[in-house]
Amino acid sequence: MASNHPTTKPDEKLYLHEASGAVFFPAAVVGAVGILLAVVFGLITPRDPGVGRFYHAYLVSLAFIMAISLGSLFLLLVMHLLKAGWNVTIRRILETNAAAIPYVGLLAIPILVSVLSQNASLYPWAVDLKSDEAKAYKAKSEHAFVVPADAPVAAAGSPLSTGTFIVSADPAHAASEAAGHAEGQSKDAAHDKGHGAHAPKPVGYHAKYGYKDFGDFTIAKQPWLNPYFFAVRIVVYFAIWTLLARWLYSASLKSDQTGDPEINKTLTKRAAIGIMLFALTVTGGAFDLLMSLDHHWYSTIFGVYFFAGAVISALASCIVIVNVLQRGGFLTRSVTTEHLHDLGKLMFAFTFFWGYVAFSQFMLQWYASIPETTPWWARRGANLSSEEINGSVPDGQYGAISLVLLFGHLLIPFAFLLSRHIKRSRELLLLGAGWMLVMCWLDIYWLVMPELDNGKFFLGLPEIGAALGLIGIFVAVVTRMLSNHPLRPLKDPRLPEALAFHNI
Amino acid sequence: MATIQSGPLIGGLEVDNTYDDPRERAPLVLNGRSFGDVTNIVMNAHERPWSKTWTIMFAISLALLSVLTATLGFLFSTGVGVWGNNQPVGWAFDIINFVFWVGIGHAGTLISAILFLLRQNWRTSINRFSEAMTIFAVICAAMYPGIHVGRPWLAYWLLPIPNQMGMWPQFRSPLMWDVFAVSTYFTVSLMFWYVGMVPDIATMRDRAKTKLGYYVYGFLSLGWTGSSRHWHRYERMYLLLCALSTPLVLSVHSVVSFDFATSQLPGWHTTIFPPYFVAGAIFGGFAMVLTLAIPARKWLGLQDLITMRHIDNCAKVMLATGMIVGYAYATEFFIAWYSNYGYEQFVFMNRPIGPYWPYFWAMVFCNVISPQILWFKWARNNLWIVFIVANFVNAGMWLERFVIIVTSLHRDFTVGAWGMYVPTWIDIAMFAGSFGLFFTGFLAFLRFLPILAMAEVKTVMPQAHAHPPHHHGESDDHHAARERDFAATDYRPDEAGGNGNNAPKPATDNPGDKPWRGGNW
Repeated sequence: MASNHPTTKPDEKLYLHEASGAVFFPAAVVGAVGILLAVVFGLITPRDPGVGRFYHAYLVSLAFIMAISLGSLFLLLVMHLLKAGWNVTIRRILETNAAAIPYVGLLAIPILVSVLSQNASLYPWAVDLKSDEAKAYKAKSEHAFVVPADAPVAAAGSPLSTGTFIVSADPAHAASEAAGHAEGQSKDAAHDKGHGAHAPKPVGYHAKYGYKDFGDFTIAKQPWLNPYFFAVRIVVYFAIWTLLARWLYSASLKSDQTGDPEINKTLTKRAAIGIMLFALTVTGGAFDLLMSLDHHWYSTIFGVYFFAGAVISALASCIVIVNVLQRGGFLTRSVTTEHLHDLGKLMFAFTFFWGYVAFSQFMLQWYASIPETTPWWARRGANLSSEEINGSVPDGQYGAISLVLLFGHLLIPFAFLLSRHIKRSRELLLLGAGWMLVMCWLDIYWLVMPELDNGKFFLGLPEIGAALGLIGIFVAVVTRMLSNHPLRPLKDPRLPEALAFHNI
Repeated sequence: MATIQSGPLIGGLEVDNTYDDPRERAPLVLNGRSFGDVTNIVMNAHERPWSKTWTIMFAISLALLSVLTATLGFLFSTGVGVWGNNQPVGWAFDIINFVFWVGIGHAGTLISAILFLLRQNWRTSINRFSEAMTIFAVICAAMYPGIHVGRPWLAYWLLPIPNQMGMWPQFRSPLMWDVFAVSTYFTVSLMFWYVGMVPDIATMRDRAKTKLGYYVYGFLSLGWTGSSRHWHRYERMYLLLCALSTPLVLSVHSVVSFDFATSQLPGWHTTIFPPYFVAGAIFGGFAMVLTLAIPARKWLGLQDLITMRHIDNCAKVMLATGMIVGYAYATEFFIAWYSNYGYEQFVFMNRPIGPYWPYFWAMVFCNVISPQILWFKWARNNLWIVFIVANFVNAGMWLERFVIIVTSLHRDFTVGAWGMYVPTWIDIAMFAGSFGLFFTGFLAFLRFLPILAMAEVKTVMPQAHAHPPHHHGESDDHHAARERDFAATDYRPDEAGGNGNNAPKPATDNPGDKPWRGGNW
């Protein structure tokens, strides 16, 4: 059987070459303009509530393109591991998406800068616990249960002196206290490490430094959440992802030359090791980059949650890329309705899986309703009352976005993608994929932005600029990488199987 | 290609079809068997005289079943005080065994439904008996909540039956959701199992040697004639039941995990529980599949149908799900520390170094360490090793439920309320007895029903995929051929054909035409 290695079909273009310019240049321009927008309106002329706005907006879209890359990496690993045959014709697209991960890593540098410079506006735990501020905070909180408004602030002239901290074991209690007194109340909840322990969430915010949390939670979690170890971990994660993606990509490119079946066996072995490294690093990445935005909140399923969204975005981006390529006359024969149908089925399955994970996370924390985890949901409008949380009233918009996610990320796509007819229609599947990409971005937005200022709603130029910027750069990078190599494997031993593939 | 190798295998000589050549798919039915051979091999298990092995095992199972009956009688007449449950460990063997058994069922549903949707052809040889395993495991599981209610004659109160007293179950309780989840699961699994068997039962009807067999199988085969229309309906229904069963693989054990995770109890309240329980269930289920398949294929002479590749694949799935379970253990420990929540941290330290430490470390050994040997092909190809690891996993998954349930309960928030749990002999006898229930059912199934999905196995044999000559040749336009193929055969009952009753599509001269279609992965 192996004798046959179809290379090109007469009416099919397999090399992008200079045609890539049609996408590359617009994407690069949009990327540059977007980043400029985000920098100008987020960093240079900070909007409310300060530079944290830029970092949060940037993190949303960074995590989004990271999700596309990582989702693609997962699909590749699992397809190699399971020796899938149907997918060979779309594999190069996934490989390119995944191999773009080092560029995503470069784009993550601003996040590392924010953490290493101990600008706590992104991660409130990114502080120097040996600083004078920290000592003063500790001195105050040890002596006073109810303290003046500038409680956490010691040195006069400290940047935090403009801020008001309200720290309480009980959100509702804190709210009423805050209403009653002009000044805040500090009750260091972390003294009680048991059930009463609760996230101290300061209300005040400094434009440059954001919240700085010197509390016991920061101290207790310092072995894991400290700027230097964090930076090392992020670098290690990206190094492992780059290694894995390049490992698979380079072997696949080598197979274009030789078609050696041994390469496929090697890929399977690499995938077995890779999938374990992947599970650990993606969990770590999700915990570090996204979950630690509120370092009081925790959820063991969070890594799986991020992973589920990542796979959806990878599948959706693959469908979009195939469509764009085919409209330009590329891959028109190799990738058929059958492959798109299968991509649609997988997208449907992972949409359902995402819903399952999201429901598990929400329902269990809502049902148990313990004070450690409820504030995180309250900031997203997912509490039962509209009461104030820690002294501030969350804007209703995040609650609305929670509902948009419920319907737009789960129920509507579920109904939409259920139909075989839709999955086999290029236009409708493209619509579904584009929609899912928007929803996956919104999902990460919903994870990140409510942490900026205690549930205050932000959606404006910095967010849109960062989204256009990072996605533009990502598209430009992927386009350039695609143009350097054939758009699908040329001599993979399973290529005939993929070309002949059809659903029963 | 396939080579004969000798080794310390349970079955002696085995044909090795576990090789991986990306250029072709390994055969799933060995020794060049024809459709007729498949029918004969499977039916032989049913038609041959009762073997001594079967009789002895059935007798042992019945003995255990009578132990269960006796202990149940004792329980009903005396009360749940005969168990070791007491404050603070109010849930013990009853729930441990419930979760253990319901978990085992999951592999059957995964193999039948999810592997079908993923086009894993190798499932066809093992799906039937895995589904049977599901049915009997769920029966064992369903028994426990029924007897745990204390007044089992009122167990129907679990169901929301309208009554003049206006009494309803507590719908907000996850225990109530369990009733719905497990009963839905049982119903759908039973339908799936039965519908899948109809063509094969028709074969049994056609080959029945006794009047009784003829009538019983005739009744059960629902008038199956093997017409195209029957196949059409059958395959539609099969696909729909697959689609219905797939979410059930996730839902049932997720709801079981909600029994624990909705509480505020440290060690129970953790969000990863649903997928972790599901992975654990599939893990334990595959262990049970291997425990049953390895001896059964030998005793029933099914080595050409349940090949080394099937064992190899099951072992890989077991390894993968075991790694997921290990991942969940690690995440739980990390987050327990990360949460900075003292009680959570205590519970997690109490597991490895508290009084139940032997259970914890035995669990880690069985579930995480012992499957690691399955990374090596030589180990997966050694039936003894696979069998032993599978039994470690069986034990490990039981221990996991013991660790989760008992260690989280026995030392709660107040030190004065701490206590230890020790099962009584009734607890242990009842658990042993539940194996009697399981094996009695399973052995009866092996004897009286088609143990292997004959019609489905035939669809993955190369003979089923021989194509007419005009589709041949790489000079042909593949795309056009494919489109034509599809248009003409969007649904192709002829390819699924071939039970004993309706003649399968005759094999053509070139069965090797498209090896990837007929093979595995």
